[in-house]
Amino acid sequence: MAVDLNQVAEDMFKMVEEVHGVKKYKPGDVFKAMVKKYKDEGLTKKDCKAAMRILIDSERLVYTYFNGSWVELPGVEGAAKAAEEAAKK
Amino acid sequence: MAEERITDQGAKDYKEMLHPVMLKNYGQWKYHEILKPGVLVHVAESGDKIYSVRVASPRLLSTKSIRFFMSIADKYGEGYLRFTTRNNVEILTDKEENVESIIKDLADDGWPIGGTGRTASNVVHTQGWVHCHTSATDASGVVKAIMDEVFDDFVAENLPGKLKMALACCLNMCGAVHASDISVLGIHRRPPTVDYNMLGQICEIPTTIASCPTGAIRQDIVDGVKAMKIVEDQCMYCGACYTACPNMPLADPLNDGCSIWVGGKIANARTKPAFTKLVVPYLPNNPPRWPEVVDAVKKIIQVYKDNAKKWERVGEMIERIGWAKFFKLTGFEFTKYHIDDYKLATKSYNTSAHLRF
Amino acid sequence: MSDTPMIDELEKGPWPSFVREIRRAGEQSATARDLINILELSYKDKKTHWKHGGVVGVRGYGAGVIGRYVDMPEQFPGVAHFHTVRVNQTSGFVYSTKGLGEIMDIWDKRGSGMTNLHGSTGDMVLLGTNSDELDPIFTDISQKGWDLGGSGSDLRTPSCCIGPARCEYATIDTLAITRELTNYYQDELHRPAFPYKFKIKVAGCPNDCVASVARADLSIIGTWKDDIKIDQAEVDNYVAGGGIDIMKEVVMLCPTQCIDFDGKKMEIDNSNCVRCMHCINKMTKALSVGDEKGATILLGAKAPIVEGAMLASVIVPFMELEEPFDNLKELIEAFWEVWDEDGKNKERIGEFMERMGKGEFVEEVGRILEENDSEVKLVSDVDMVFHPRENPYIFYDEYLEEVSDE
Repeated sequence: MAVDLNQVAEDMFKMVEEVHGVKKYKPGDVFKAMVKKYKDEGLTKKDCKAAMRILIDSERLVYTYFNGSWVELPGVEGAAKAAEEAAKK
Repeated sequence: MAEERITDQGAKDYKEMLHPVMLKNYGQWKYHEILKPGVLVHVAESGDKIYSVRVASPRLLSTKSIRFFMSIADKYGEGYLRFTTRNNVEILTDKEENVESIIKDLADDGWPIGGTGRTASNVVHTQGWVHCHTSATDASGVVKAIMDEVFDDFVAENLPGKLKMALACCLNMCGAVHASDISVLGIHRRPPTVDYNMLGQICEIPTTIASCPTGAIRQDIVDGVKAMKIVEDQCMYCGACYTACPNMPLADPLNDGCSIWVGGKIANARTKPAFTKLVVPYLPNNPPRWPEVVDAVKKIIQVYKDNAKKWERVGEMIERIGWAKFFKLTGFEFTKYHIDDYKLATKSYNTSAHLRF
Repeated sequence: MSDTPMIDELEKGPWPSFVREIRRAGEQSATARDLINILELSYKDKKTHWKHGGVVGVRGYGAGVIGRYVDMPEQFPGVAHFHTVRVNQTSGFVYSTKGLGEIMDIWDKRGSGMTNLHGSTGDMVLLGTNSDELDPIFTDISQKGWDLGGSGSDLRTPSCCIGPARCEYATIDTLAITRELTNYYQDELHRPAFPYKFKIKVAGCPNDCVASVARADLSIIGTWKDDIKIDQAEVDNYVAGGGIDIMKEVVMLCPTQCIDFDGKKMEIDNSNCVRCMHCINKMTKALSVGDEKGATILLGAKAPIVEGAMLASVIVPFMELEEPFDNLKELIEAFWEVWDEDGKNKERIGEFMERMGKGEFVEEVGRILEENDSEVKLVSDVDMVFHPRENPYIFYDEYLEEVSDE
């Protein structure tokens, strides 16, 4: 019955990684997918939050804000990129 | 390994931050009075009194000035101060004899008091060109220009009732301009332009397309390279795409400016809370003093002074005298832009023969 | 000739100048000095020179920092990065000089020295620092017992009026409610997982000094159920004092004409009082709120983006609120559950409720409350609307079918 949260975190990471650069998920999208996947084990949204925290605290995923909040792989975004480009010159 | 990280402590306990008289009489207040504009006394059931000296603030404050307010609070006010929801500073003291000293020290550093009762209170406003990436006008500068001219109505109770003004520098409206007596709202009039230079390197095209709340951005090919185009009719100037992609700036000096709205209110006193309504659809940005905007605001305040009954708010006055008369008295032109064309617009159509001539 | 003639102009005049503030910060901070310069350019160009940075933050949190970059970093290196840090304010914006001084010390050391006291939502806004300083700032404020506020698609920092700390009108403990909700929902505040932002504001009475009806997804507005208390001796004092024309300024302005006053004695038909506060505001010594205190809960206020501006509307006409406010928490969590399940990205709860239909939304929240064994019941109530529906397009849940007799 007990679900291994590390396993859930791993699945969450894969889900985000698979669509990297093409599509973005909100944490809620990821939670809903996991609750569905682990339906038989009775995974709750609260469990999902704990699993997400494993990924965020280890910085494998980061929160981003572009017209709403998302979870993504760490990277450098447009405005910072432009700032860096300029700094290089 | 990193140090033990403290997280999720939340808000500090306000009880540690309350003036001892406020803590002692918490929930046991009997009444309050305005001793003069900018000075309040609250009296507790116990007979204890707390005096609040309300200071004008531009909201944009340096640590140096905040330390100055703290020094006044330490010198005369037992070391406690607070801020109001309209961004004024309040120096608190339980000693009436300290009030005039507080006012004098504040004045020596250029800080006026007021904003209580039937005055024009501080203008709630947003960041503007000081910090915001979607602003259609500045915020602090326009507010400064307005308040320099409306100053007498802040320091003295010259008005029929309360006058609450607000300014938001675009229609994302970080300030509640949709429910104030007089509001200035920065407006963009033209959709963002796309800067194709290094577009693909700087911006993720799918992300940018997805960022648009109305789906107005479409994929495009320019010179054989993936790019984007905007369906102009669907753009509502929110700047979300510029957030996602710095190559789509919304700012446009030629078209950006301010609109003026009136008649909103928050309090339930007498009449229900109400939205502001449009009176001037567009005025140009003319820094540093925005004379057109300041004139429009002054005109509205003058009409309010001349026509409102005691305690009436701007919107209540207009309800009584009618919009036709308000436009006549202010001299603002009524145009097609004043007739709503968004959802539920028909709710604002006049379906009666109730007309004033 | 000055390099910043337009900005200089705004140092003149009687109203306190924000320019003087930036200059004061500029005595110590190159960032503040370049802020003046970029602002002058904005005044010249009539446009903003800022860009949004959506990734910056502190480790572990998805909120509390707003990334900002200037669009001409080579010319204005001081503001190449100009990020904002939101620090959770105290309930009621009350500070000891010692407490506020802690934040000032940290900000002088690690930022531009410019602030907004306060931001529209309620946080202390520390304006202008670079990416490398963010984590150290967080460590410094944490060690002094402060924390960051909300941003993005999360619970935004709740805020409130001064309430029972200094106001005779307060019918609920706005400060305690605000702090309890803030601290109870820390995860929701720091780790964005909602469809979009969710703001809570707590007003102690229907004067709504915190503008909750316009600015908060969840507005908690203090009210009372029983009678307005009349101190006839104080009414006599108002009559004798002559400072107010009671008939003209109080009685005739009552929206439901429920005050009876013969020039001496005052009586109120409380069954017809709508708790607008006008008479109490004007005769604060003689009239006061009743004893059966609680709050009206309203839902759904927002600014225009995306579907248009909304004021909040009544969802629970009356609710008693006593620590630890379990009933309120159960209600809030039920709202979140319904919204979270089907809300779209960037859809505020007010828009969601409109899309779903308020009646349908109420029924669904009510069902969840029941499922969670909450004492709070939510059913359609005539106080939720100004008037019953006008249009006849009713979507009935069910209809009868002919029973064939076999």
